[in-house]
Amino acid sequence: MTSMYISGLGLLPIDRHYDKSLTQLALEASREALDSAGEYDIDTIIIASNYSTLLQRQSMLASLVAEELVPKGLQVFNVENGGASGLAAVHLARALIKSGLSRNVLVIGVDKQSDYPQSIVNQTSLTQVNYEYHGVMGVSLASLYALSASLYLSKHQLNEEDLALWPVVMHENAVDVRHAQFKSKITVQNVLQSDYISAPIRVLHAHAQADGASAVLLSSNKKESTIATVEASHVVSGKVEYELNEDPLHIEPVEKAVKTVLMQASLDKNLIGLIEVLDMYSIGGPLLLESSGIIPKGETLKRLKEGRFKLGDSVAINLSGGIKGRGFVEGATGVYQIAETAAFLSGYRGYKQQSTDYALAIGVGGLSSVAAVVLVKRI
Amino acid sequence: MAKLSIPIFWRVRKHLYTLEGRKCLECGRAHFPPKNSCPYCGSTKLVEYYPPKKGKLLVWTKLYETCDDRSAYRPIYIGLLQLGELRVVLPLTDIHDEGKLKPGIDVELVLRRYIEDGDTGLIYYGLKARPIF
Amino acid sequence: MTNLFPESKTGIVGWGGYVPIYRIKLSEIVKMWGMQESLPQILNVEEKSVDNVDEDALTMGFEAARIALERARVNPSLINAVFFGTESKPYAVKPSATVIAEALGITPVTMASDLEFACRAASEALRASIGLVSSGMMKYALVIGSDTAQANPGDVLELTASSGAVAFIIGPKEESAAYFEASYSYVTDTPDFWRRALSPYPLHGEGFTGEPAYFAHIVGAVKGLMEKTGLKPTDFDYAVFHQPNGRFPLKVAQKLGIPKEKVLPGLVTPRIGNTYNASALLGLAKILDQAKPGNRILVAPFGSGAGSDAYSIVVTDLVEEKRRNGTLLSFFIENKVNVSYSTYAKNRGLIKRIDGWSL
Repeated sequence: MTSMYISGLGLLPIDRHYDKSLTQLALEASREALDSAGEYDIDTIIIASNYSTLLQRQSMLASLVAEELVPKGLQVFNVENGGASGLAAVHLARALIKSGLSRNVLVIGVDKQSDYPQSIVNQTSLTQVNYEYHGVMGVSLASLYALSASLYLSKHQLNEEDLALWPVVMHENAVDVRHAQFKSKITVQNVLQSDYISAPIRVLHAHAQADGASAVLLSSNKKESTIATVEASHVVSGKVEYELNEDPLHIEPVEKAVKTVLMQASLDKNLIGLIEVLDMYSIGGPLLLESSGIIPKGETLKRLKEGRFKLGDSVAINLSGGIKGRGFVEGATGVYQIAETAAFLSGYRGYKQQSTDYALAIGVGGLSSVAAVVLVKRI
Repeated sequence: MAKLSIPIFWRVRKHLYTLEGRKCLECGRAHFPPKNSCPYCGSTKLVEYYPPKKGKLLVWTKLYETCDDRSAYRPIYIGLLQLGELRVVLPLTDIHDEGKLKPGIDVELVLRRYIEDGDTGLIYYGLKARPIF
Repeated sequence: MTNLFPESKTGIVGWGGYVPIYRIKLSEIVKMWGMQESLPQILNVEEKSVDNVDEDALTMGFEAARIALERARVNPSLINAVFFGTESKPYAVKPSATVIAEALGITPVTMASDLEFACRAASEALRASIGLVSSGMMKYALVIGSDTAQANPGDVLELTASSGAVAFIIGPKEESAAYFEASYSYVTDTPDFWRRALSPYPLHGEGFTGEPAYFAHIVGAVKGLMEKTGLKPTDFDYAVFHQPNGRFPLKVAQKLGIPKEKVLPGLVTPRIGNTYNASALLGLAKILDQAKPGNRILVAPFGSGAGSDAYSIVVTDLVEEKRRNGTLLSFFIENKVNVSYSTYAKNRGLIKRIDGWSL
């Protein structure tokens, strides 16, 4: 039941692009995707961006990009779903293609934090909690992930050293990823010596400020440039408020979205050989993976310690390097995740290749506000 | 210059001053912040629920990554609390002995400043939790 | 006492005191500014309370009022006046009383205002509330005295200006832990201490704050009360006076022929400093925390500018039960953490900062 083809990729290096505007980043990623597809006849642009209105004070970003990319005019949409924006945009593209309203959709993810100092970037995360209540209290997303990290470690009798392994492996994975923000290795010692940002979350568990843009060309028909297909996708809302979760360690919308996606594709979860998961503050990795039902509760860090989840394992996780190695570009991250799964399934243009047919991209907005999941298949 | 909205926080002031939540008459569960329908069963048969002033600390963290507006408050201690039937995330205050800040300790609610809108804007007040050591 | 005054229809239905957890030793301040090392001893104050960075007169007032409400056990909506006496209100314009009234569930059918008369505003509110309740205009009134007292860093005032709050719910005598027998006010234009409109710190007339101000007005009020009622110093079991330091209250007692044994139980300033609007009234709260039914208390707050009110208060049988329903003031006095001058300076906003980045 192939529904949508991935036929072009744009993956800008994630960095502090002081010399480029938000629109320029979006355009560069778009041109890279269209060039790689050799296809310029797009009828729809969907932009996923989390903070363009807040930081760059720019709304209707898709129109701004369309002005330069397709001056004659086309269907444009702007999508914001927190850290799940990019994957949600892919889901919407699929809906448009399945309905027949669109044939060639360019999904662009873009965000840019380096226009402001860190204090402002910290402030933006207050929009990802219920702002009227926790926003005015200063309860940021980092502190909620920290509460979960504490609960997780104590529930599964793990320690900070176990959690520190996650960013270490992520940095290792990013070494050969050309668009990654950090291609250097770090040690458990480095992680444990870094300062707390919200205990037990440390600086080296967290993403750095980043700018980036990624684009994918999604189409209704197979092209010469097609490298993968989107087999299924889903978006499910959850709870914005941390305390409303039945179990703060179980991200219910992730469970629901993954279940639905597997059902759509009639796929056994054991056939998934590659996962790109939004691993916010490190702990997001285990939380999402274990909520998805693919990895048993409490097992992620234990298996990581046993050397599992690397390239060539039965399931490889975050070959991109995740939010720590590849980087976290807010609303754009989901588009990076999709482009990466396609690249790692196909060995696209020198990217490493995981030998499997199916890859899953799992994203979440906030901590449990919304989940978006996309199933990608090798062509 | 003042930057924060006045009506946004004025509308929820009582909830910030009292932690007034809701309790569902169908499934019997209480929640905060208050919703128009029960987040657990969807029922709209809800009544006000005021938590007791004392409760238990379930888990806590210490947040350093804040915006400039709150740098005088840094680090901000934040806890997940059980207050009667309510579970709620709140800032903690008057922390002077972190060694005693353990899950299970008693806490009580106190009115404190959440944030000041610069030197000239409004002061936003609400409840925080103070450990009873 | 033969005459029954209108005051005697009313009493204290609930009371509560609050002192922030932090203290700074006066020796720290003396060292910081090169003052005479004997000053703390001369003032008879060892350390003073310091509010946390997220506290102000309003939040402290709320905490004291909540304890008073726990003791009063009255429906908040029956409280029809909230008076907030302070000289360190968080807003120059915008009442603190409304926030406290809202947070306690007293709004909307209530009077509410912030009163200013240096350290005496809350006492004025107390006397006004007695009038409102005894006249039958309302059943209950809430009076709060709260201050995060300011002082020019390095000024001798800095040694004592501290933070604390006290609250009383005034209601019918029958429900009271202590009732008012009589009261008396004594006010003149005596400029011993002031703060101009936009000035961050007050100034004072040093020695001028003593004889013509503090002593003359308290003595005037107390003597007036005794003349009015026919009561004598020996009729009182306790005496509480405004406590700008640990020395003045003992000295004024001496002038009035009251032995210091009756003053010491209500003397809180040596441990927490001068809490301004809460000062003498915290002393009263402390007495209510320990007095026995039938005890008679003399209370005389003072405010610069200048004025004093004297009250005769008689403790009732309800005092012990009500005492159990709220946190004792001694908990807040004993429960303390000493901080350095730098922490104190940060908490008190003495370090000049500018607005940083903000969206």
